[in-house]
Amino acid sequence: VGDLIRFVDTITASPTVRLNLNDESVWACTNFDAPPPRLRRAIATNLLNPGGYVASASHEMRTITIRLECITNSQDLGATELQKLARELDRPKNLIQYQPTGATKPVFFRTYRSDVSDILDMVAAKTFRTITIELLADPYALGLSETLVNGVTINNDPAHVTNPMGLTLGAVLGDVPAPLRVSCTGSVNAVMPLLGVTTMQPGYTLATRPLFFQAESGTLGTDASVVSDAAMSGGSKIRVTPGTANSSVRVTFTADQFPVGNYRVFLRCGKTVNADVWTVRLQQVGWNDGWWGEDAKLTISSAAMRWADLGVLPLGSGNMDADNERLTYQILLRVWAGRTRGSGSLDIDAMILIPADGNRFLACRNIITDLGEVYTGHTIVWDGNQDAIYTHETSTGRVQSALGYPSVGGIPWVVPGHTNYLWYMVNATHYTVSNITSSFVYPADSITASVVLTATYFPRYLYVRPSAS
Amino acid sequence: MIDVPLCLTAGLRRYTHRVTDIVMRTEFPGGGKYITFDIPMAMYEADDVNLALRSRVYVSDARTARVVAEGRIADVSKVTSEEGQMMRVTAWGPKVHATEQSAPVIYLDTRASSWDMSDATTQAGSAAEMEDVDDAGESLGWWLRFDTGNTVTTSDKVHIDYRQLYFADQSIARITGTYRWGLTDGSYRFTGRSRHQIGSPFWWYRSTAANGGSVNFDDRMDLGPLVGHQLLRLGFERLDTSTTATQTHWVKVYNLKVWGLRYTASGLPDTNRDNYLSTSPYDWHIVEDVLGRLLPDFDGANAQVQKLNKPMGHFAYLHSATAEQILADVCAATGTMGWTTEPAQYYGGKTNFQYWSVATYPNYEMSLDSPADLPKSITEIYNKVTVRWLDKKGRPRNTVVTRDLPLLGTATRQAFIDLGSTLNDAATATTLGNEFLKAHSKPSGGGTVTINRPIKDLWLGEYRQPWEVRPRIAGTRIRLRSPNDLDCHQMQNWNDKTGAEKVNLLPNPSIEMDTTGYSENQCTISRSTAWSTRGVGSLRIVPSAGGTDVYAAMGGGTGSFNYVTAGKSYRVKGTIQVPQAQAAPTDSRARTIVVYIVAASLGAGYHEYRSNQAPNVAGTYDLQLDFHVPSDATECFFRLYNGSGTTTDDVRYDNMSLREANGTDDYNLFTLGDDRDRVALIVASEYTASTNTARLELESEPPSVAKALRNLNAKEVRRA
Repeated sequence: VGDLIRFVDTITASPTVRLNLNDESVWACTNFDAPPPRLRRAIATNLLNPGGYVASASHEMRTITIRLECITNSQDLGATELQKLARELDRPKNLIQYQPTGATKPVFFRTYRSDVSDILDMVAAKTFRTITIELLADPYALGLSETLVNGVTINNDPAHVTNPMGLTLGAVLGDVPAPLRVSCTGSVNAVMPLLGVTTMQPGYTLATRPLFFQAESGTLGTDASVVSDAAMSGGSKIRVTPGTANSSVRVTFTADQFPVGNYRVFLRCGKTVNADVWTVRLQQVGWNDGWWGEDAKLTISSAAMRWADLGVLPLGSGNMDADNERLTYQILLRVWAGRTRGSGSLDIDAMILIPADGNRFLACRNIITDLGEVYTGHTIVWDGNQDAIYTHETSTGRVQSALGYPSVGGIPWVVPGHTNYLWYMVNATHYTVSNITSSFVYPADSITASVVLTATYFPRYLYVRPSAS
Repeated sequence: MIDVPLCLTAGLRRYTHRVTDIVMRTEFPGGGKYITFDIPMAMYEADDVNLALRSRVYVSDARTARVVAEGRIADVSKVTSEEGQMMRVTAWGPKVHATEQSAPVIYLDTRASSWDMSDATTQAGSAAEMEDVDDAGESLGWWLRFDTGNTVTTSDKVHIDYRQLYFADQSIARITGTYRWGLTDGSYRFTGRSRHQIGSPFWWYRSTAANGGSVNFDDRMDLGPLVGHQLLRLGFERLDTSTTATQTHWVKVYNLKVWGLRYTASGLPDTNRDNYLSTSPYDWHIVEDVLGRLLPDFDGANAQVQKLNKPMGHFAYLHSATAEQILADVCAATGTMGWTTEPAQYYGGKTNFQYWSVATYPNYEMSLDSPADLPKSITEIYNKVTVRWLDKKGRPRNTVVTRDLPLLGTATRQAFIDLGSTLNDAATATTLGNEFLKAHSKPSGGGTVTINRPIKDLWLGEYRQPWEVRPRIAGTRIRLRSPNDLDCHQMQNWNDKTGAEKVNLLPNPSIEMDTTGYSENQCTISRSTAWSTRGVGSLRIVPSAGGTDVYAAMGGGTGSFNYVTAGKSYRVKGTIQVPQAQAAPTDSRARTIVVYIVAASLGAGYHEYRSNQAPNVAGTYDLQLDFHVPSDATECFFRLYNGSGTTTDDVRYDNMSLREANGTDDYNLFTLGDDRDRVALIVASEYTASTNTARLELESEPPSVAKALRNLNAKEVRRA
């Protein structure tokens, strides 16, 4: 039996075959040429430095050249077979399944409308033509869909013993990073979730997972005291009852062995009086007198606990490849807070740091989706294959909206050969959305909320697929 | 992974995989200007609702899920060519939002010519605009009179009307002025009236009898009848009994000031009478009004507006202006302020706005081994300028100002400035002429450079990708390193020279035990535990009665050389607490850290360098100054200024630090005056995703009063 080379309808183990290009009856493949894609690079060079700097690189599309023999008993039958080929080539998109003899698993090339580059009619007793086709294709060959997570519950409490705001994914297959398709059903209304994947080089780990600090475990600052509260992560919070309107350090966190990189920081906090306005700010004390984050103004008229967005915390040379060493930092973080209007107190529960970096040792892709009024009973899908977000009713599968949902950031990828950690915050950034011109009332955050995730992907290969990776 | 991790969303759809390119332009002032992108698509797809006009566009960073640029679709073209069919889309950024509304607006109108004699004036009387009404030589006003020999009967009146607020659709916030009587007669009254609009009845709010003296009047919008009114009328009226007018039957009205009702930054009418100061609106009053009035897509409630408290004087746009024009005028008038925006971080969010003093030290640094074009030109160098202005009668006058400029030697390059239709005086013309010549005394540090690799962020100590390098908060400066410094132009070497924190050179930075190292001048200093940002102690400075040169010396005083080493660069910083706004008068150095240096290379005398100034508003502020000590410096000493002459205006300092700039001496972060380096302001960046490069447009300085003078003609006509 020859290599499996055929046009099929889907990427499944047993797809419908539309045209077998190597059935060794009518069609035979004499040459299959699918060189891996070349890299397109942006390189900065000049005469002032030796070499150059590769600023960016990405794979180009590839061209698959297939030489075929078509042997039939008559000209009419030969023309019919050619027509079958022409119709496959003319499709806007198509799939070629390729599995060399002896290989355990196939790969699939996504091809685009293509043409015949050469036909040679042979003088023979039968109708005998050699045909060369050149197929424009995506850079990667796709493997059968793999499931990383299937119906796993993620808990919205960073201190939860099981899957606290995320989980470590299993081994990722393929040669190169692949986009995830994550579907999620929730026990609560998901309004502005953050989904992310942090990829760590082998041997590289995050200090704790998730990266969070309990307020009550920090060093208390001015006018702050610990208060027990079962609705808080860890069962406690700190309450700040200020004596003056000045901004002061309310709590300080320290940690050792923090990997260099950028982190997106959220603080879970709530006002005791709806109409009060507080300003919260993060300070990292250290290099060159430290770094100050953005002001998060808690202007929303609600006393419920929410996550305040404190900006992106840079730790060390976050954007630079840490070429030679794995750097870690000891960090000292201060949370400043000041009441700019009102008379009430501020409760602080916990702070979470979501990695957000392009560092060589810590690559991340995060996305925040404003899902507006999506509610319980619906499944939200982040489809990295299509770069789209949509929802459907969980029970019926009926699509709720074909338009998609507002989002910023990138749908996560998973990277083979690395440790991939998936993050999920049910409700990110409820304070900062207070300035959105929307009548929608964003609900409070709850640590007892949870979502059920399923994550799949098509592993990507440059050429053929090994049996187990 | 070194793909460019940018994502593009238009409407509710993600187009990252379909666009052929993304170009983003950001400018200072203003922030995001536009985003353009092409999407190859068949024409049957071209009515995609996500690409509708006004649809929101976001470019975000896939790593952080942070928005890099935002806009609203303004132009969509269906393009067909040999390359196929595509949609070409341009989305305007927040900067363009500042040009979307143009409206007349009056903050303070001090011009007598804005008033007119009313047709309600009866036959016996008349009104004339005049100058020098108060015999002091400066005031402009109106003379309301009944002419000698005329019979003045009951209800005869002379009225002047103010209608500019009505035409600007604004309400009255405050009116002040002075009237002076020519006689004492209980039957003559000075009257004030207002009404909502033309055709509606006038309401009295003031009526005072003629008493022969001068009276200052001050009426604000919370005075009953003035609430919500747009039209003003002042009058000289006969209430009862007839009389024959003599040459004393007049009242002169002058120093007229009319304030229009402003908006708060949140977009609500500012009805707090105390916010309309008797002198003039401050710069930030106008900025907040612009936010509330003309910029609904900006997040006014959470805007960062620095309160410089610069009095703006007459400030009125009778012929309408855009937010961009008004903000440009405010920034130019302050000379040190700029405005910018940062994109909203979530879909549908409002744009972040900031009005802040323009940074004086660099955020970024790059080596000049990337494509650059940095011209040095004499084009804008002048040593003589003729300033044309109008005197109070509207007659043109010229004032010539010169400046000794060794660069030009004996040659003369003379510019001409036309101050347009604004009334001015010789002193103002001379001041502006000097400012102009100062700004045009050396070649611009401008030009263009192309970023095609990550460059160093001096503030964060990390590298920034090309799409992240753009004019940002408070104006962003970049230092261009000379390529002939071979030790530094390899990027990997740079790390070696940064990162190590330098020692704080101050012996008592946190005032934890006592006030050792500090001494007082016209004040009393003490250690205070009432407030602190580090430890528990701070340095309290309580003014002694007597003057405003109130400070605590940090180290020795005049004649001493403290803590630093000649030839090196330093950063001094600290935190100041201002418990309450200081009462006038205050020293110009109030609430700053000041460094004095004596060095022959700087010229004779003391050279004074000031940190940023803490606003005169209760609060806690960080002060910071980067400075270089020349190698021939002989004195260097520090002062922590209180600057108030009022004994209840104490301030506290804490968390003081003085550190040498990072790196070796040839790689000082904050080296000043090195000919090999140039520090320039990034006034625009244009990032192209297909090549992953950002082209930066640089200027040496932000638009200042002097720079703006070139365009003053148009501005002043607009300001009328």
